[in-house]
Amino acid sequence: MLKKITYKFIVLLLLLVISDYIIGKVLKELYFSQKSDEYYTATVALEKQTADVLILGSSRAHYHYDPAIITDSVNGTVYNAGRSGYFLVYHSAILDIILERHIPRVVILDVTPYDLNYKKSDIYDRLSVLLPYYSDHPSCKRIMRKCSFLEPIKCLSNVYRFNGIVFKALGNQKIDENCNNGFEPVKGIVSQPFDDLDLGISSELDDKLESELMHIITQCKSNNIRLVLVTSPFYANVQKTNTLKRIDKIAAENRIPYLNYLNKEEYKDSTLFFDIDHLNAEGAKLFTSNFSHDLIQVLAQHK
Amino acid sequence: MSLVNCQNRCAKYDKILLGMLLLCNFLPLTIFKYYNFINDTFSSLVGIIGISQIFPKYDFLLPIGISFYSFQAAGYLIDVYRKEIIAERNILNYSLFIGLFVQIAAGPIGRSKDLFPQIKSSSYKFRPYDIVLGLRFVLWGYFMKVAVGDVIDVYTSAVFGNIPFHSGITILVASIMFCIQLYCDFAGYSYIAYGCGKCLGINLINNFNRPFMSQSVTEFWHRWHISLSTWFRDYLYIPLGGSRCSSLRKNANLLITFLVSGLWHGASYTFIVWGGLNGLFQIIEKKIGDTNLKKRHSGLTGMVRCLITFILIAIAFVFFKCQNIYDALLAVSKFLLPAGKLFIPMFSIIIPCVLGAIIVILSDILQEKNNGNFMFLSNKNVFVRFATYIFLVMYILSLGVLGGGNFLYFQF
Repeated sequence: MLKKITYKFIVLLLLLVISDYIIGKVLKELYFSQKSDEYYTATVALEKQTADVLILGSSRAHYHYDPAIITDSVNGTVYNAGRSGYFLVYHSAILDIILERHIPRVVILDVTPYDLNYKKSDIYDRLSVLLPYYSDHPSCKRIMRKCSFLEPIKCLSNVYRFNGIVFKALGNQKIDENCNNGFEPVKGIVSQPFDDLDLGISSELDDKLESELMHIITQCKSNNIRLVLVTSPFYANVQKTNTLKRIDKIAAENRIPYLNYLNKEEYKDSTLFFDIDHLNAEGAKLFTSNFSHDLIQVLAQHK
Repeated sequence: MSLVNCQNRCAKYDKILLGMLLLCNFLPLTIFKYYNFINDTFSSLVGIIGISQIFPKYDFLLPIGISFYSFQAAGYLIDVYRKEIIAERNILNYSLFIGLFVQIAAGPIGRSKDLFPQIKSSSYKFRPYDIVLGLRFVLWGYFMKVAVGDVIDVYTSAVFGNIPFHSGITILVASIMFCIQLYCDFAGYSYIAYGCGKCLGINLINNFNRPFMSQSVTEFWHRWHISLSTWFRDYLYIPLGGSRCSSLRKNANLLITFLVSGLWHGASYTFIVWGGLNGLFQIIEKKIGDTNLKKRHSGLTGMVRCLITFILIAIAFVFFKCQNIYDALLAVSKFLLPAGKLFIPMFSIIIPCVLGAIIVILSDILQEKNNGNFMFLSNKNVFVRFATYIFLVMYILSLGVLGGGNFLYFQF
């Protein structure tokens, strides 16, 4: 009886390994065949683009920085690798992966007023979105260990690396005409009134998040990349948070230009915003023009 | 006469001792889980006469599984008092009974009569087939929990997190999905616990028996969270008089049992209302319908009865899900008059929800027709079984929420 069960168990295990390999291959093909949406723009950012200027950031980067306008100003190619819902830990990780094959001249990092705020949840949890790149990028393996020491064991499964992507990938087979080098303009006008916004004036800061920011700074310095920190506008009167104070200090200590567009008069216009923390297409156009002008001056000053 | 007097005195002391032990047993549960609720209720009452909060509020961290092992321990005390079992002298055996890892976190609530003979058995034999059976249950449990329950949670949390914003039809769909989510979450965990127990050679209570195949609310409570409902039946309902009394008293006993059951689930009025509704539905059923559990209606009648039962359960579960009574009443009012546009998130969210729900419901229907056996997992044909194992594993890996969801019943 035990012999029979053991034999069946071995056969089942072999079938599972084979199924995992085959289905994993199919899912990998599906994932990398996407032509639109966030998975596609992430793949382009990590594996294809060779832009001179790389933009990193959350949805605020993704919706705010128009590469076409910056290209004209800096006379070089630009790629917007901003991604909704992803912050410092993610940007630090993707910079490592990008630097394996390409070194941009300039990295623009859009930082939010709450980027360094202490978070109760696991800050490395969202790195699992980089699992599809696990097999092809050595630095991805190191990054995944930050999620959990079990992650490399879980990644032995080809299917596990593509967890949750199936239906989304099936819907992303058509090219998004709207998307321009990672930038996505949004339409709409904010309905909320202009008001004060507390994004964590007295919030405790997280050492781990600060170390991720320092990692980005160190990577840029060691690869001779010009790093520029930017905080793009809000449709609100944003109080100076502990994060912003800390970023000011870090930028000064490391001689990194920091452009802060919070609370500027020209952005107190509701027609420029989609919601209180995102510019719409009109707003992005205005902001990117202003930013490009400032970027050239800053790069010239900080040679 | 003096022997009778002595026996009466001993019985009286036994009763007092039982009372004291039960008090000690339930004291930690009362403090950790119900202190703030009792304090708030008391403060609201004295607030009417102008007195402000007398006792301070504390933010207790609820020890995991406290509701389950407190009840398991209480059941043991009552069984010893009733002389149904002999008091256990070996502290290790008793500790294992209370702290058996497979059931400590969220049940099933074990019975001393079932567990002690297994724990104390010296004739344990390693049975490879038990491990196979156990792993089957574990696999099915993980599928229900991770690939269905946690996936549906994405939708129900979005809807119930903003009830005023959503239309009646959306609340209706979310309520239905929540019933399936709760079932998959809890039954999934229970199957994992049952399967792990099986692997160790321990037979636990199977907590769920395809509850959505029920044709009445009464039948539902014989199929849902069986360990808890039988606990309440044996240690509360029957001692109150059960059904062996007047109709009015019987109904009162039923209502009290379900109100207490609601309170067990959470220190909130929403849970009490949920429990009360379940009791009320059963009282009404007994008055107007046929609740003979041995008689199953077939065909269209059976299907209609299942559907009505499901709707009643779904209405009650709205109170289970909502944070407060006002949200719950708003949700139910929208639910009963479903109108407006259905909230459909991205199809990458809705398709796995619907697909998972269909698989679970179909599996239950087939299991019901197959005398409780899994049609595919326990199929005689090894190719069918293996194909099912591979399908479930690949489904969990590709579509399951593997980033660590929550077991809803851990909060109890």
